[in-house]
Amino acid sequence: MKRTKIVTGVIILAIAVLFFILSFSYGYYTRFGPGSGFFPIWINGGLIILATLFIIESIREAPGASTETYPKGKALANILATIGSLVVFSLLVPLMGFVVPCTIMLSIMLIFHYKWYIAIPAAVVSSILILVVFQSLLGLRLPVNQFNW
Amino acid sequence: MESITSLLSGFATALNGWNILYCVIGVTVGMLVGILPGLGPVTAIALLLPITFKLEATSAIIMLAGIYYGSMYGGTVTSVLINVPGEAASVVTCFDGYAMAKQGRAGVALGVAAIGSFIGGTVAVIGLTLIGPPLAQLALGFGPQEFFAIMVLGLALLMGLIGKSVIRGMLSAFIGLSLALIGMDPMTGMLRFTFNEPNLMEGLDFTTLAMGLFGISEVMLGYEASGVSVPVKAINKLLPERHEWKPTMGAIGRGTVLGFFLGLIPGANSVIASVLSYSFEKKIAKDPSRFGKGAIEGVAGPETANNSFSGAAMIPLFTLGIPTSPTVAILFGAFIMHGLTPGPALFQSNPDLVWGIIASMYIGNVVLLIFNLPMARFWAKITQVPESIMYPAIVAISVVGAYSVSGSLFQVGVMIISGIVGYFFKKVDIPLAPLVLTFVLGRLMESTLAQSMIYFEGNFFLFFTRPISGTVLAIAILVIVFSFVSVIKGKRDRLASDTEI
Repeated sequence: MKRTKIVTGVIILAIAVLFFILSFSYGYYTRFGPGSGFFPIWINGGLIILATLFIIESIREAPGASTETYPKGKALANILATIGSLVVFSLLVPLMGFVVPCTIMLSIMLIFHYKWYIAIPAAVVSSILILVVFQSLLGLRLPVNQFNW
Repeated sequence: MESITSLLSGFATALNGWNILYCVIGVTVGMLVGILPGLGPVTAIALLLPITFKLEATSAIIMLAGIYYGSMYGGTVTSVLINVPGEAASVVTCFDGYAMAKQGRAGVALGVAAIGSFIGGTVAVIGLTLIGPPLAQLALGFGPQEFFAIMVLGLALLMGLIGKSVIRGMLSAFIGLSLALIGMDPMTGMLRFTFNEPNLMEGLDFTTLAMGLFGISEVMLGYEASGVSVPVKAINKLLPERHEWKPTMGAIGRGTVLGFFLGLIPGANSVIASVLSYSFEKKIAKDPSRFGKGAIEGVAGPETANNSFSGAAMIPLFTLGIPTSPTVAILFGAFIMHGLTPGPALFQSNPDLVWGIIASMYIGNVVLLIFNLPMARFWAKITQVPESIMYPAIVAISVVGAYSVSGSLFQVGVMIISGIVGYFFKKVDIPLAPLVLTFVLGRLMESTLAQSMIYFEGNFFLFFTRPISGTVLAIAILVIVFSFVSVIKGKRDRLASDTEI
């Protein structure tokens, strides 16, 4: 986990440096008062210092100090399936509307726990139910196709 | 007297057919959220926030507030029956609640917790009724300098109290502030950090961010932690023995007072309320060795304190417009989403809304008492909902909610990235609570600071020449200094790194 902490710190530091540099292009002070860059310069400057301290703290951490572990086996598969299903959903929605991508997304998540002949029908019914409840009853916008599903 | 009249008109609003229905829906969802491990009030309110788009503001906030205080009741059920806290504030209830359940007294533990929660929650709402209007009146005299100083104090307390490292708390807070800067500058209208992406012109959406940070990351962590299911203990008698009433009521009284005062402090949270109450009960007990083995005060005190806290935490929101905990920050987001600005002027500009919400909290607490005493056995069955059903449901609701924010898949993308970021932050012990609070308050902090700097003609140190802003900022600096000193001396208590989640 120590390496993950250091990598996280470095990513935060890199973003903070980018934002800090960009902040100067917004103007620090105007004749009326603080400019658009005033707050960002201080905040991102502070973020650079804190990210650096976090990296140092992580480097100095004793081995085995963290109780956190990386997921393995079934847990890892479930996590990847969750993220993967969301990505697949986002890619398919512009092509197919809501119901089919939602069915695929839920099927990917359910297939690890139930037989396919239970998981897929459950995903189909749930997707249609979500469409009816959220779009028709609650009036929310859903990414539907030209047939309104 | 004026408060009582306003409260009565609030009851007229809250008892309106639809509002009472939304109140019951809110507390029911809150109970469910509290009971289901892995799903906390922050996640639930963030998930349901987009669904309230079409509702009237009063109904929406009555429902969302109901989820908040309802979850505090619900968390007890799993702590007592299966030794798994349903939400973070009920962690300490496991110690004695589950021990009581093993002795065949699960019903008494749940009964005492329900009575304590009702008393704590109701007293806190009475406090809100009585303290709210005069405090709001006082806050009307505050300038941007005072508001900025109070926000800084809240963040200092939050960073000082939460998590395993002050550096990580501050890092999280600064990330939240930095993310809040994306979009249009509130003072000049200039676009910042948008990278020519039209979807970022209005800034990152709070609901989407919260759904990712809490909902999606919680699903990922939940899959990792999913373990063996524990058999549910039987529920029998719900009320304590005659000789147990006196210590129970004493613990309830102390929990009420402690939770209430902690609720008023920006940066505190319900976990601190329940942990402190437990420690206090143990410290004053004649025989502290009973604790952990089924001491009734170990259930009554903390459960009362966390409910008293959640009611009292509404006071800074209504009177100052400052959220003090992550869940209240999401409620703050709900106000903004419905075109309302929480703060001192709300009592004058929207009295029907404010008093309607306050009255609904009295009603909600009564409904929850009924849910938890005669219906305790019913809720016990819900603890067995499998994660394999719950997690896909959370993901599907998150996707629908994120898309509905602006009708764009961009928001779904933001939610996925926030989920991954939230997962890794939890892994590396960066608390999410400061990030959410600063993200909500970022723009307000920037505009109050800018207004103050214009007023002070660029001299920041003039903050210290005004009695309120000077004192509050000095306290904030002391809190940060003491937090660092406690780290250096190795005396820092390890409270839950993320609370109310």
